[in-house]
Amino acid sequence: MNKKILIIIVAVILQCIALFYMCFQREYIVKTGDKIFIRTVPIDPRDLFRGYYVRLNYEISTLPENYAQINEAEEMRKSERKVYLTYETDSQNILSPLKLTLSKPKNERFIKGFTTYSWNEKNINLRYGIEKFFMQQGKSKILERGQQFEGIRIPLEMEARVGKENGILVLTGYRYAGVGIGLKNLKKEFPDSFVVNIKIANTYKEKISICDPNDHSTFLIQLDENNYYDKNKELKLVYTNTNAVEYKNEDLKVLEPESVYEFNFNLSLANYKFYRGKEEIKISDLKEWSERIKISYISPSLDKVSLLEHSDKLWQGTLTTESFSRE
Amino acid sequence: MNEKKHWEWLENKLTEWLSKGILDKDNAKNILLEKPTFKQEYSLLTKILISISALLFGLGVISFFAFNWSYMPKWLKISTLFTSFISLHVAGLIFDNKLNKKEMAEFFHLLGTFFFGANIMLIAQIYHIEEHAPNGVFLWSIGAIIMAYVLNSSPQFLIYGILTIIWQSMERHYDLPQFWTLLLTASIMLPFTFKKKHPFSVTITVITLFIVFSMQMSYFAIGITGNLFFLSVFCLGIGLLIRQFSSINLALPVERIGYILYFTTLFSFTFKEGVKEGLIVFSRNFYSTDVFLPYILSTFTLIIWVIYFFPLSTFPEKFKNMERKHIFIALIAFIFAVIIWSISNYNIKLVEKNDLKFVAMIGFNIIAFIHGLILLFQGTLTGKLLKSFTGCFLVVSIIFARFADYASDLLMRSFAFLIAGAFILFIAIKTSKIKSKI
Repeated sequence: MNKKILIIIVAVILQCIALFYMCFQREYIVKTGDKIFIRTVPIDPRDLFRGYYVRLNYEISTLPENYAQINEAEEMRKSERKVYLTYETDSQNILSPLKLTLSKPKNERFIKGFTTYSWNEKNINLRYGIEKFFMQQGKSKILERGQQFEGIRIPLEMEARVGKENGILVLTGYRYAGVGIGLKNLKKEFPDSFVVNIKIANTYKEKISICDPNDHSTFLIQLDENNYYDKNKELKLVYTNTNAVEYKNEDLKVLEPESVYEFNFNLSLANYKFYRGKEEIKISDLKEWSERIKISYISPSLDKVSLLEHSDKLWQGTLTTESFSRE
Repeated sequence: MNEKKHWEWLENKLTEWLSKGILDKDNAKNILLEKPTFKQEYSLLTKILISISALLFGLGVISFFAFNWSYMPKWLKISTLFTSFISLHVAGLIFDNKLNKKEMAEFFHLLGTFFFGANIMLIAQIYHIEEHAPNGVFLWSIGAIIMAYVLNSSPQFLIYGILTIIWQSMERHYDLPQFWTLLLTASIMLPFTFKKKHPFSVTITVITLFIVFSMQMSYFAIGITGNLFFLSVFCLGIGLLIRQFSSINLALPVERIGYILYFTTLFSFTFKEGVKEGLIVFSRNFYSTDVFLPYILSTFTLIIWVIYFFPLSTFPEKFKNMERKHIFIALIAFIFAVIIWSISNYNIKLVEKNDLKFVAMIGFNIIAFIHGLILLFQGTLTGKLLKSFTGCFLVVSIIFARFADYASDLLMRSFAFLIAGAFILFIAIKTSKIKSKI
């Protein structure tokens, strides 16, 4: 074999090694990494060379700056900084973010990401290298449409594996949450107060229970901090009920398979104080389009309801509505 | 005429001379014994057609796999891609070494490089990788340049140049200037160009480096034309060096790009806004890259010119033998630009900002006008059409530009158009006459 042929063979082998490394690194994570699910909101398009994909936006794609340490937050608002997000998972393996750091965490589970530019000083925007999910042409439409049940959007949860040493994420599939939350603003029906209609859909083939006490304290009001950019008008929210919560049998609502539980929630009566800048305001005073809130259902931990009827069916997890304004 | 064509012409003539009895058979035979054996080469058109064909095949295969057949298992997709990639290079080797078909060998190796890119993209598709998309193109370009060196292939080198430009334009979305990429690209491309010593590879290298540099400069809102101007004089200096140490053929692509850049940027400096955007930016931080970079470029440019005229005792002789003496006007423009840049950026309180703008504009107008006139007269006297055209274009452009700035009278404009038209007609007739005499 002459020298030139040998050199060509070595060049081709080098390229094969590069390709093999790409496959091996991801395959190793798929085989050995921790399995988690990450909540998303899908949107469409396609890649000229790599076919059709669903563009994914995750709940953890934008995090409030308080997830970062004060001295690191400013650096994280710049583009292309490598960051690590520590996390925990619930009983359904759904990821909940804990904190963002610039240095690699020790003895904690983490995922690796990169910052993207954030115009809003309150937030840190992130990408994790899993923002595209490639599918056969035509099939991506199914994901783009999402799953709806009686007008309620059922959240899409992407299945991913996390590399234990490097925090790299590899998408391996997807599922729908089985339970979804919908919201309707009842401004016309209740012009003098801030009332919304909340629906929870059970798309499972079995009964589940959710916890909804009379004061709806498992439904938390949260500010959509993406929308505040004027510091003088910045909203603050304080939860005022400090009493220990004790749940009763009637607080656990049983949802039949493929059914919907709904109720009207008068936000004006909820245990919150709102501040616009330094001024205390009523929730019904939220008049501006940018003053947006959202409502999260957070199921109580099992030990708090274990003695109650239907506690064995309790659905555990968090459901968050889309953000909305009074107007 | 190259040597091969020369021999073809001579063979035809020998047949003709034999039939006319000018030459006898033995003499003709002896002459033909002198004919060297030429390496089998294929034309530039064949190279281009092979590249386009490989590109279309490559795109077809990428699109086929991009369909993302859901019923095709992951391992089958990956092994098909790997096998195809290796098979193509094996086919290239067989065509080159066993069948001696160079064109087909080039085609299969090129297709192999396209498959390498396809593999990168499709592995990213299989594992839904969206980490940092430009890295994929960068990896692909490295594959292409490895094959270019190994096969001594200009089409592979062209693919590398194109991929580098795509890689840099993708990186541009990330808002982080990376000047090391310019050094990396230069250190990868220059040895190949030096080894190949062919105008085609010189052209690819100069264009790629120029685009990569411009993309890096585009991160900064100011001084882009200033830097391009410095770069153009740098190119002209490099052209002189190549002429001295290698050949005119290799110097021409560098000089042509240098001249295009030089005249464009010089003309932009004849405008008040042009010189302000390009060269005059007051009170900047000395150590910021956008202020400091032109000094690096200027230093390199000066070094290049000094090397050309080193040792200085040879200067008069070199100057006498220089084909394009007007290049010294570019050097004067360069020194003037460095002075303007220094005064404005380092807050030297010699003149006010507006005065400096005005002085710079006047200076560049004079330099450009003189350069245009010299080109015009040299071109007309020697019958060189391109020189005459460039000079004429520059002079007329400056006249019209200043005229549009300072005269609004329609009658005056009418006279200016008539005089300019007559002037160009005179130059055209004069050049044509001298050219026909030559």
